[in-house]
Amino acid sequence: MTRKFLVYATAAILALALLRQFYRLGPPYFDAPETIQDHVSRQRYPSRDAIVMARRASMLIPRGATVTVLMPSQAPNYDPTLYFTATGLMPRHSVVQPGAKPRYIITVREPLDDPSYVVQNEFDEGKIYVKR
Amino acid sequence: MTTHVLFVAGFLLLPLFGLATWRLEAVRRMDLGGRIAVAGAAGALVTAVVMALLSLVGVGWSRTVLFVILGVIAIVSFRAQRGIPGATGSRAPLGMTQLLIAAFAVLTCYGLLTARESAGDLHFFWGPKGIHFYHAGGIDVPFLANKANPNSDYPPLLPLLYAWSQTVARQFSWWGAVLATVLFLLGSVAILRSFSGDDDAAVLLAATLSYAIAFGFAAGGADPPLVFFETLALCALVFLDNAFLGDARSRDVLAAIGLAGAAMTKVEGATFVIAVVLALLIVRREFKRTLLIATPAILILVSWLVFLITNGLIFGYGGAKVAIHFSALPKTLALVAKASLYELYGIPWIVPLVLLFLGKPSRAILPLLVVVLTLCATIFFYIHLEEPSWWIAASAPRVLLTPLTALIVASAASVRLRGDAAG
Repeated sequence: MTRKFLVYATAAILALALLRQFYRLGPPYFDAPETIQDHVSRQRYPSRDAIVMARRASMLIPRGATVTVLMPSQAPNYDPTLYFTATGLMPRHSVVQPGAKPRYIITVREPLDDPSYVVQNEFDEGKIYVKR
Repeated sequence: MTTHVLFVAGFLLLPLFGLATWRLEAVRRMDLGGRIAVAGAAGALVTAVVMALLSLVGVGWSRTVLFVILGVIAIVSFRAQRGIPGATGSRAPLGMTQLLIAAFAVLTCYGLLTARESAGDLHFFWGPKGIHFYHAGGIDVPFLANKANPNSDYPPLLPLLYAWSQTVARQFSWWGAVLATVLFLLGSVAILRSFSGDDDAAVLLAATLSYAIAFGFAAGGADPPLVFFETLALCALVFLDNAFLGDARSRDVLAAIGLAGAAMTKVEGATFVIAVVLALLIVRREFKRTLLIATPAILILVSWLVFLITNGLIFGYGGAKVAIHFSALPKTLALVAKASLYELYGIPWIVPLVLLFLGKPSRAILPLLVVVLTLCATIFFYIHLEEPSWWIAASAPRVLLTPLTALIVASAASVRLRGDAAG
């Protein structure tokens, strides 16, 4: 009996803790999210925007083209998770590291200050640049 | 929507390829949930091994090839177990236990479908690997060698299962990948419940895994399937030993499946295998039987390492040569201890410990040793970095799922209802 009570009480506590965890990650609570990263933090992760941008770019950039994803302000130590993410969303393209000077650069949130690239597409989450 | 449904269906088909396990005496006596979970573990392992072998011998994974081979395996498995009587127990079909477990499954589904539990590693490398493997029709060596893909040498089971589900759905489903987590969670719970006959421990495992997976953002990563295989191995070794369900053959085969699956899922799976082998040698002192149980896991691990070395893909495993920073030990211990509280005053650990001492801890020496050894292994991994703060914060809640699950198994073992029932 003690055992059962302890387990059920713990289950109730863990259920409440689970609800607290979900609540802490912020609204909206019942809308269908756009990506699997939408609510893993209260603040929107750059990788979430990388998913959105890579998904769009996969339809806007020719197959086989070299491409990378970055946040320009992080130069030269770019967050690798942004181009890691693109490898899954752009399997028909050649995703490379930023240092490889690819034909296309997808920037997350920020503009790219590199005269050798020009904007091809603009979105709220970032821009797609192509080599001049 | 069809893609998501078919992708999840790929996971739901896995038990068909492991139906042969229903021939085992212990499995025959289980309830349906336990039998499906055991077949699911065996089926997942069979599917991954078949796909890996096809890739090694250069046969591409077309839909036809995989459907024919796995279809034949399913038919042979089905015929092998046909006519064998199932469980004769009189457990209530819908009781409080099932309702509570279902409630946690629903909560977890809510978390998964509102993107509140997703593992970053899913879209950093587990998902991309599965997608590239599918497109290449095999284990994609050029992609693994690409520096834009991290952790190339991580064991391949999860990407292989993702490639299988993608073969069923013809497209990758990120939502399907995170939803698979709830299947692994329910599978772990069903195995513990069926092997131990302990409904309370099953509820505790469901509640703990639901919370810890959400807290550790583990959905879609390799930790849920790892815990699933580990639960099978531990439960087989703990509850099939001279207990009501016990027979040596069932114990050895099911433990071997669990260990092999764990070794093929994550690097930590290999350390789990080592921990179990050491614990078995210390507690049971049966060298030959222990070696037999661990052989499939060792074969899989060695094959994978040979494949990696042959293709110049050793990265993470090469970390074994990295220096150990004993100076980081106090900080590591403090940070891991903090992470283990799960922002819940350590309740997930304290409660199974209390339950353990409400029973007879001496009955649970084996899983307790596994708890201690896997905790030590976790600390050992972390002190390979001089400054491990970020690494611990990012991974400890997930990595600790292994010792935490083993502790819950130990708490059930301390009561051992089936053994008591058998008198």
